[in-house]
Amino acid sequence: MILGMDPFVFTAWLGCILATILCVVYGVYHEYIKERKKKEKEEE
Amino acid sequence: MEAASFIVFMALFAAVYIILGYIGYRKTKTAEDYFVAGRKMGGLVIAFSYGATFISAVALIGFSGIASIYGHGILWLAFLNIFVGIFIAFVFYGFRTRKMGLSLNALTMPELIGKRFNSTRLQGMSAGIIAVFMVAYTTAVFLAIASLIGVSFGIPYETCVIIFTVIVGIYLVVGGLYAVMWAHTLQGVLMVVGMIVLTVAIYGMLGGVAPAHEAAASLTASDLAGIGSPAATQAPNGLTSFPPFLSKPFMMLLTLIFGVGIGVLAQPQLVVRYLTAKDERALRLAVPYGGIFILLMTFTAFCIGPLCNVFMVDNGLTYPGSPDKVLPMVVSELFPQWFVFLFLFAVLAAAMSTASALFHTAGACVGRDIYDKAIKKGVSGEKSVKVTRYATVGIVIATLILSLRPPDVVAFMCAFFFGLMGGTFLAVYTLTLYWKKMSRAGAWAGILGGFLFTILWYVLVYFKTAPSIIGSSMFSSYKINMLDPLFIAIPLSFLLAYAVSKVFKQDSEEKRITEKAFENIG
Repeated sequence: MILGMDPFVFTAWLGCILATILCVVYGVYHEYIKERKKKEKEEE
Repeated sequence: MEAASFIVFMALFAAVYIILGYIGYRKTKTAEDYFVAGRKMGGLVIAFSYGATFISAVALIGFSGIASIYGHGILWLAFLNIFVGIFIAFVFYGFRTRKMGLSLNALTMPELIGKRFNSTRLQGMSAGIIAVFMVAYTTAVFLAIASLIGVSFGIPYETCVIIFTVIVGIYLVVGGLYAVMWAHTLQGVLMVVGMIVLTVAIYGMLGGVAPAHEAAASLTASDLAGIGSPAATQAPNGLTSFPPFLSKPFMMLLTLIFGVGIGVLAQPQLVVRYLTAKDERALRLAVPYGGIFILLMTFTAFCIGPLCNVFMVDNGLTYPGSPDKVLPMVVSELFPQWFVFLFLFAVLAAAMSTASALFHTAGACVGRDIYDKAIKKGVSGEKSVKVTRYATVGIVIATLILSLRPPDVVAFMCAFFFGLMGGTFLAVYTLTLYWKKMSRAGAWAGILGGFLFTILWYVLVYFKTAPSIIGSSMFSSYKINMLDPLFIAIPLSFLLAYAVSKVFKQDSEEKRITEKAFENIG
């Protein structure tokens, strides 16, 4: 048992959190990192 | 709880919506304004509107009740809701849908398919399927919420149904999608606050995440049988473990997880949200907001469902007879009055947001896709909005009549709405966006094949519906009759669309339109 759940259920529990982190990272990457790189390229 | 306080809050609720409806009315000048909010929506509003449409009262109280019976294994559905319902949906479907919608000037999902294949008949037929089943689904949403409010506040069921239908109908018909999406944002905030408070309180009362789950895991079959919960037999490995492979509870979870988790990609009421984005940045921003919103909705609801059993055993409560009543019962028994009120309004917000989106989509299907495009072959934008407003009023009245005297068939049609939309449209919608060589004949074959197979499966085989329609399922093995039709309908629809497109190829006009459809897609 992990956090009181069997490993297969825990994978789903963790998967929910990781999927949300993926969504946030996607948004942050496109909003800030990719935009910054684009601006740097344009300045060059 | 006093009916008077409910009426005061409901009046405030109604006042806010009617103001939003009026502002939406002032902003609605063109067909584009009414159908896709002028394509001017930002990321936060899109995310909340998409999430509030996706998550109905059924998802919050119905699925948390199902989780109380089948255990935490249903968290796989929450995973798919976030990963497929948000990430895959926006990244792989959202951008292309918006770009193609702009190129073809499509304002609804049937219009996108109809214009892509140069067929107003295909558009009308798709819209007809959506409208008929959507009315039934909306009726079921109202049934659930009116029963809940009626039980909680002692207000007659008929009064509840009339109040909800009139409020939603007014702000929707007057304010169009502007009013609907702004209202969704407010409703979404209420839902988020309600679910955060509920989840923190429940885990807090049980001593934290691990102790709460351990308390649920330690409940034995005799404990659960003692409170009359079906979990005694439906969660044979315990409430925090997945059921044995290919057992009946396993098949039930498999059907729920994939039926809803994959079917979400082709829901017309969700697809239209992509078309409202003011730019690509808005869609990109909707991904993180949407992911967090769904996490706070389904993940929390499915986590606390099984924990309700711990409270029921500890407090001597008995299973209320239906999974829909488990969470409301626990909340009303263990929480202070102010929170019961907040919770019920959060659930009410979830129901109203889903219902308004369904009314808008069904109205657009009848007014724009069937009357305007398929029958009249195109009318002016202003007239299209007028016709759609009349059609929406018709849909609202039809839903009200069905809700007041709901025939049994409504429950069946609602049960298979998500699966039916997925089975009918997912393959063709995907190929519309990704395969340039799909022909009109292929689209017809994919949609009709998926639709007919799904309907036949529900009527003849599926364990929930077939016994009530034809007496018993054609297949006695539960491994077959508990299988969601999506598992077969989607591959079949893909196969038919591909094979027929290879035999009956695009004509020159279709080729020209395909080039136009993909002009903004790399």
